[in-house]
Amino acid sequence: MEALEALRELLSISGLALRVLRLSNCQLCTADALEKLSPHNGNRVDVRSIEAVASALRECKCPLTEVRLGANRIRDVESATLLSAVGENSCLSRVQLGLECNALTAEGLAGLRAQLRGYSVASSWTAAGAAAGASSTAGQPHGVVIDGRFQQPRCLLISDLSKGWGEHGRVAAILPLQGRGGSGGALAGDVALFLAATGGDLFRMGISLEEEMHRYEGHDDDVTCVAMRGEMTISGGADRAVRLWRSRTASGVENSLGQPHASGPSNDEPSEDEDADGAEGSSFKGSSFKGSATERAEGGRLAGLLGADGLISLRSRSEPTCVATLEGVHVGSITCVLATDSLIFSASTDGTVAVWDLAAAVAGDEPALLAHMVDHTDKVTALALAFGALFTGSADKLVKRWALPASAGGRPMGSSSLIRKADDWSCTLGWRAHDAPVACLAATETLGLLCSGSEDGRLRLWQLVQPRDATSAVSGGALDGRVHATAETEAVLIATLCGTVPPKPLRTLCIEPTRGEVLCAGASDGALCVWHLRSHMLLHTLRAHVGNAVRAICFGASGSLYVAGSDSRVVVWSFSMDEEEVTRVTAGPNLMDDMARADWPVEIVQEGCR
Amino acid sequence: MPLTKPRNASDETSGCLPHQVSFGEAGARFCIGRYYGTVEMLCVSMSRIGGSQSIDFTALAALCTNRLPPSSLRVLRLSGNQLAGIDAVGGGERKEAGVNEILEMLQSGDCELDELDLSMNMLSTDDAQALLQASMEPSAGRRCSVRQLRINQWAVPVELLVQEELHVLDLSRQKIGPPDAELLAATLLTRRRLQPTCLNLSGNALGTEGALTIVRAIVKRASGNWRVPLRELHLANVKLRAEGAALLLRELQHLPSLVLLDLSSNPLLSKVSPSRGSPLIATDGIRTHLSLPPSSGRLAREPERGRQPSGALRGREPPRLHGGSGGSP
Repeated sequence: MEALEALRELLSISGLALRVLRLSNCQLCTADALEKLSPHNGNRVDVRSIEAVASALRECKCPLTEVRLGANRIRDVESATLLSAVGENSCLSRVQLGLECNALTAEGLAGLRAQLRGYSVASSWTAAGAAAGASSTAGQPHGVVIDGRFQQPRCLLISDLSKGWGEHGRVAAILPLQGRGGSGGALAGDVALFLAATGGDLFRMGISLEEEMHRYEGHDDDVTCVAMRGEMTISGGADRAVRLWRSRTASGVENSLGQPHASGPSNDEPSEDEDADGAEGSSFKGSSFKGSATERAEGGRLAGLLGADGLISLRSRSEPTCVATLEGVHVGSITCVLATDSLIFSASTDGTVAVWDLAAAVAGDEPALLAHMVDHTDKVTALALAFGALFTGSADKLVKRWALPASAGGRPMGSSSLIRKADDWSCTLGWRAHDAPVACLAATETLGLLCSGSEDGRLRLWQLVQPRDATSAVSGGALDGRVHATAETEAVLIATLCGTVPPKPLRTLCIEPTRGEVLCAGASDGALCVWHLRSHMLLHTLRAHVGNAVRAICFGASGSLYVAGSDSRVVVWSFSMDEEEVTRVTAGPNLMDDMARADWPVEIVQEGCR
Repeated sequence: MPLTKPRNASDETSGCLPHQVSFGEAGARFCIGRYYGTVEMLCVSMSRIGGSQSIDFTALAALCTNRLPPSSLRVLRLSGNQLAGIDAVGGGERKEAGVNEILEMLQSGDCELDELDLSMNMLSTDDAQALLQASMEPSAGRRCSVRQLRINQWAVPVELLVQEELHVLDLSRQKIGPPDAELLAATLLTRRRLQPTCLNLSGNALGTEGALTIVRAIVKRASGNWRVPLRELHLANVKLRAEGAALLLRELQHLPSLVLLDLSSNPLLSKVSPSRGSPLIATDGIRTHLSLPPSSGRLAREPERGRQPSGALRGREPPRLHGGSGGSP
């Protein structure tokens, strides 16, 4: 409180020209304070730091126009206190109160907006001012910058898939469906969930359905990883094989992989649209999130996609067929697969990465193996395709970058004939990324960052820069606003982040796709840390798989976040993605842009907020 | 070990550089072209010129008196060479020969280096200030002899500091620690033509000590009726804690011109752990020594104050300003 008391003294001095005060990410609401705010603790409110800030704002005599309090884990009650303090001070009639990336709930956000609208009404604002003994400032606009994105998320659904499924297995992957729309809201059926059963079978499930949609039978051992590309599903297993699957419906290639599911009418009868197609399928409204759709169509397995508000559309599908099996190269389990329009990458515990020609594999008329990269000395655990190159992470603690021949601007290769020379697949960069095995990789081309997570619980952010331009890392190697990996670039460590104390091994990473600025890191203890990549701030720590590792993360449409744990539970979180407020923040001073220009700690160790 | 870069075959016959250089009995010996044939020497890195008992500056003198140009040497790293002559094994005797050699080289203006690394040489504050000033304002007719000077952790952007009409002094993410903050504060106080309206120190590990040193220098500047007052001060992520922030905010009461204050990403409510003892911050300034409790035995005596300033510098006038133009050509 000593610093905030000094702040109050500073602001209460008349004659100062101070207009902009930035106190973002200053831990104003500590974990202790939040603990005391917990309903489980009798709702005892101890927000002395926020009260001190509010007191400073009440007594402020400086012509403040901007006060930034982002990323301080401010909750609804504190934000209301702050807004009231601003409203009581006539000197702050034009201040912008920045509450970005805090812990506001959706209800709290709505309350703030209502409070703000009240201030904009002359009568209400006068009343608020009069109550505090302040002079009337009716009609003078106050500005409150509230970034609705990535405030405290709501938990929409916890689905225990193992209950209705009845077979032992685990979540292999949650993957986004291409071409998904953003208008359907959360749970719009925009992701595909894959469960790997012991023994080699793979199931594609609905998120809240206890009914399988597809069964992929063919692997001789457990499936360890899955990727999707267009109509193809690619799976890798402990049987050292990569299998390619294609799903077909009666009308041809299944379109659900390329088309998002559109919500149908909310009734218990089949929708008119689906009825018009006759045999195409039907729609039902699920009785609950636990799922009740068990009807099966004759001649094929019944598949379901969960729509908004529990609407489930059921379509008759045939079994996916295995169109190719890629084996004989890896001598260890497949750990990771990745696919482009023309290539398949498979990583293995044997420390190698294989590159396969997708078209040749499907046609089966020529060797599909394009390259076999053997530079790593331990098992390869992660693959990432970004900046026009392939990045591999390994248990040998290294991250390596591989040039993709005949690639232009990161676009996938068109003709395999250009990439058949072994020399083309060369390691152009390798560096010791961690002091422990690298477990996962993710990349955001928006920020030009490669993120690596390791077994020591550290998350590291790397930027590819030109060697002679290391100080201006942001612009290094930029072409068309994106960083392209060239032989001349090198990786510069931007930050090391750790979200939990003590650190727990990281298992998976996922970057929010629309803006590429938020990363989720799942740990072995079930904690999911949500990081803002520009500011390196830990926004939230979500815990729904306590004691069970996070196995898969995937962002869906409209701010939905799907998290699967090793307990076969899938939790769906929903982040507020208020576009109106986003526009306001973008138009005005942007805290995060300012933060991006500043330097950030080499290491941040923060305790997660609840 | 010298950092070398193979040259083209056409350059092999140029022969502008010796193939082997050897300095003094205890000095460093390094070879050029031993491994790659003829090479272009871009950087010289020397370590431990002096021995443990007596320090031999022969190698350094040879290097400095040759004054490098017209060779292509652009980076000179003399880190960890006991240039101040203080050797713990040798009893802490201070010899200024090393510093004098460097100072004379810088003041001569004959050397032009992209980077001069003098870190880990136990240089005093006076040493550091004199070296920086000599780098910024060498002899008449020369503008800046060294573009980057590293005395502690901070690679001082000399070329930036000598710029005139510099409104935004962006020193973010430059590893400025407390000793470097002291150097920066002295520079802000002594270099009148450096009058930024915006000072960005975000992302440096200033700590309470460093941040306070700089803010006090800024306030002192402002009270001295400097022509352009500071309007923006960015101190985001400088490891400022509660006590330091309180002191800093109270100092800023004397800086009425300040328009923007950025204290983001500092743990303003965090206090130094009691197990680490009381902070080295007094209410009236920065403590220069700690008094340990009597139970600490012989350690309870008050230690000697900091290192003596350089004898060479005590009698030395700071590099002169040249006609008020800062040595601009």
